[in-house]
Amino acid sequence: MENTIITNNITKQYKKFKALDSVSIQVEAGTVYGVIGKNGAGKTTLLKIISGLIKATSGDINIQYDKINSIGTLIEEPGLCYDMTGFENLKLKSLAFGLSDDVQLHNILNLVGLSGSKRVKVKNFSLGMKQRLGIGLALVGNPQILILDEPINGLDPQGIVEVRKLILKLKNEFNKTIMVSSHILDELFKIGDKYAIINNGKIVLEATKEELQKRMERCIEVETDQVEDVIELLNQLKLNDYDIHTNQVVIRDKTLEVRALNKMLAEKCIPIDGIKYGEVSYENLFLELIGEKYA
Amino acid sequence: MLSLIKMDIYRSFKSRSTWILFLLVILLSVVLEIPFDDIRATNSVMDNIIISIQNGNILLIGVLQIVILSNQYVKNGYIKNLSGVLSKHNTIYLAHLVCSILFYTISIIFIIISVFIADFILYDNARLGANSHTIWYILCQILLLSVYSMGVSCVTIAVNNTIAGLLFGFLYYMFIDSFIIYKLVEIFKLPFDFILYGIVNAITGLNMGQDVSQYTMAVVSSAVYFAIIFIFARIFIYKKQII
Repeated sequence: MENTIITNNITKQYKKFKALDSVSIQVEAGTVYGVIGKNGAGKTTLLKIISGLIKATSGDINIQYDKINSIGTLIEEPGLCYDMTGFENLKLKSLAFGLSDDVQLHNILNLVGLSGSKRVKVKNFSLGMKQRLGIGLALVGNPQILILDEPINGLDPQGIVEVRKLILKLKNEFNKTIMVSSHILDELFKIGDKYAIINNGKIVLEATKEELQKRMERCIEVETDQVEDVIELLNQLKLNDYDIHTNQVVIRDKTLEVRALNKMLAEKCIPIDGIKYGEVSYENLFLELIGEKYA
Repeated sequence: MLSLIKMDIYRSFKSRSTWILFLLVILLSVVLEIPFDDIRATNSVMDNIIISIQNGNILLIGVLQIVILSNQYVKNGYIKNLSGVLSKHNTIYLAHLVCSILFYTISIIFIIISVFIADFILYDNARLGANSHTIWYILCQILLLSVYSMGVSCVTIAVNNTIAGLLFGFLYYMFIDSFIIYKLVEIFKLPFDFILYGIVNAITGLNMGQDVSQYTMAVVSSAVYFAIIFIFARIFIYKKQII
């Protein structure tokens, strides 16, 4: 599959603060690309640069489409005119793009589930409706690429499901390439095909959904204050897929049983505080990747 | 560019505030027709329009309109939706200028109609008072007022404070413009009549006379001021990266 967006070593410097540091990603056409990071990690800066809202200090961006309306954006909260209806907000943008097809605007309202609120002013919309209208605005001009920054932020569970369904519909039925950022990891992992995990302006991992799922398979967690002895034992057993945290070793091996490992630790007289099966959650995987302690 | 103008006009005339300001323009012009003195009774419609322009009534309302319009795009974040079309970011200021010109044009039409009707009701006699230069006078004033309004709008966005921006607009009209021009005359030893090139002087000093040069001067003043505003907006938007 060809790449729609390729960035090469994008850096964004704000005086002494480096918001992005040599970020290189590749986004395939017709996929959902998740950008994950905690607040202030550089997600929005990356999406703003790709959208053309701000300029990178250095680095290159190659976007397959070069028409002005090839990218639809929803950055941070949607920018809406609250004293206008949803249709009027769409109309405003379509006029700016030199479009005069009202049918497309009605189709967008249908697509984002707001056709029943054509005459309602945006100030009376719920947060979820505003968010869906924001996505609708991004769709004006039928762009091939959608950049959605935190589209589910602050939504109630119903709103989250609505936005999720909409994003998947746009990918599956309209073959859009969608970049989505969020710090609600479970939700993002439900829709993405590929992910970039960003921390302090750097990409710490770019991986497909399958690659991430592999990292989350069953593991054994050993609590001990003699981590080095446990590691020595694991090396003797030729078990190399493990992570070390403060007073904890997480071992990823499908064949290894807790009972057997416990017995071996006892034979080696390695004291432990606890041993159990664990499953790496998305949050824990994320924390592990950015080098922070498990929750 | 044309698309942005269409968008701005759509936004402006879909906004309730624009129609409230039109209503205010009409009310103000009718109230000023109430016979406080004998002069009012003998003035023609055009005389009263000149008074309304020179004492800043129309300007204040027009400034409010353009400040509300341009601030709405920035404050509610709608400007982000236009990233694709705003490849030259300050083109939106040209669109705002056209919108402002349209607002003043419609306002003056409303004033002419309402003052004419008011004069007829109050004095049983309505006199337009137009001559062959009326159209040039009105066009020049619309241009000057629009450029002035754009300047205030830019400052309002730059300081990110509507009240402070409007206060600046008021002070500029009252003192600052004259002061700057006076200082330029003093520092660069310019001819004294250069002082008439200040935009506020152009607004207050323009009369419906036969002298074509004053209309040329008004257009030149408008162009110079708008160029300054345009450069200021370009630098400001680039620095702040608000779009």
